[in-house]
Amino acid sequence: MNDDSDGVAKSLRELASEARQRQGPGAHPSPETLTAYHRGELTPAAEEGVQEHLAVCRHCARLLLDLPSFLEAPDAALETADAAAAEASWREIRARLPGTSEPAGRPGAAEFAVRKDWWHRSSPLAAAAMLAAAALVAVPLWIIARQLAAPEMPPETIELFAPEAQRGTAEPPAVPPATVHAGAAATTLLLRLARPQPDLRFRVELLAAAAGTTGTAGTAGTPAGPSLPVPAVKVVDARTLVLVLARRQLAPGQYRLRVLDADQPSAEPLGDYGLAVVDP
Amino acid sequence: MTLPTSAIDRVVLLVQQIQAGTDYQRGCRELYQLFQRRVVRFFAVRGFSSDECAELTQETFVRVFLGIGRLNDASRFATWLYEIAANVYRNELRHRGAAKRDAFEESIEDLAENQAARPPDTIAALSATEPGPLDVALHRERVERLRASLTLLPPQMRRCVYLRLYQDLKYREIAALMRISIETVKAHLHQAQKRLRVDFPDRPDGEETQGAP
Repeated sequence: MNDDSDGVAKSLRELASEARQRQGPGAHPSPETLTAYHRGELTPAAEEGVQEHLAVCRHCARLLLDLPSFLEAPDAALETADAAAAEASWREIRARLPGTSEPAGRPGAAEFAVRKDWWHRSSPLAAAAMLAAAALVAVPLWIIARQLAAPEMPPETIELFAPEAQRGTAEPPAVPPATVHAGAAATTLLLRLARPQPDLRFRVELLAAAAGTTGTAGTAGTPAGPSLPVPAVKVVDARTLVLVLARRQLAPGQYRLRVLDADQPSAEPLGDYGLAVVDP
Repeated sequence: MTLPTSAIDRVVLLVQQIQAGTDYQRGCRELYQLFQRRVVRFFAVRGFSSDECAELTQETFVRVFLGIGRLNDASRFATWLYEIAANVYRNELRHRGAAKRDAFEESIEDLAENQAARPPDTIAALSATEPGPLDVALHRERVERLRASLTLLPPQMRRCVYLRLYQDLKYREIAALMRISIETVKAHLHQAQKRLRVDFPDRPDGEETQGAP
């Protein structure tokens, strides 16, 4: 720029500062508004307001310009130079998350101290009793360990659709049970309800189907006994729930998953799905 | 650049597993490994030291993992992470600039001085020279004439002028910010230059080609 265009820029800087003061200190759009603007989800009036602010605010303009690169594909792996610092930083983060009491930077140190203390204090008799107890649990543990040592399958995501009754028929069509691999690292089940259920208060039942039944969702299947423990279920949208099964959470067999209206548990299920858990 | 489907699927799966309480620690750790570097970069380009970047990155991820149950759409995790990083950044600026009148802008200017990667600010360099009374009077007159001229421009054209001459942005950046095409930006600036030339007759030709992508 020459002197004159620099003069224009300097004048614009002053005018921009005036404009920001007119807009007020609270005029900076929230990050949520900026991302909504980026996606084109604002009303024309709100979009106009954001554009008017962006023109005179370097802070918000720069934030928005950085958004596309931030949303690019996740980094495949950390560079070696960053790995140590990233690991140290992760330990500090982990220490601030719920369910972690391990001191950051010294993993396992607390447990080791406890073990050493017990060995020095206990009598030989108590030690023998502990060894006997250990032997009693060793066998079942060994069996479990063998199961866990089986090759782990990658996580899987399964979409389950509630069958809808066709026109002119009272009964919904038969849907074969979905196959769940017991050895998968985790199984995410997306439960699609027959109809959108906004503000639904729901209850989910997981039932083991009696031996010999086909477990066909919506039609056959004879649930046996009370509901098994159900993992936490989250609402994705008005028509979709999601839950995740851990590896080997269910033993091989046939199961039924039912989504019920919590206010009318005796009414027709909102979703009724068959699961066939297999362990090849 | 579009996000590969496999990467989206992986992130969505991790978020859903964390929300369902399945392998919470491992899921958090993997999400951290996937996104840590870009969060550090987010703070680094804003002039924070490496220690400050590490601290702000930690704060961002702690907020993310503590609040991940509130994320309704797992496929928007990256956007949500960005929003939290931006909020952490703004809170830090507010904290640092609490005593200043215009906290955001003043703090940004302070941070920019410590930021080696930032291009030299010609405006700041000019304003460092002490102006005389005649300079002040000429400047005031220029500001008033510019204000009057800008008022006559259509809003979109006026914003493009600010973004090009005040913020020194490239055409493609202006187009991205205003959600219009680069051709429209060029047309706006060309028209604006012609109109402003009445007030600034010695303005050089070819200004609109500078900064073109």
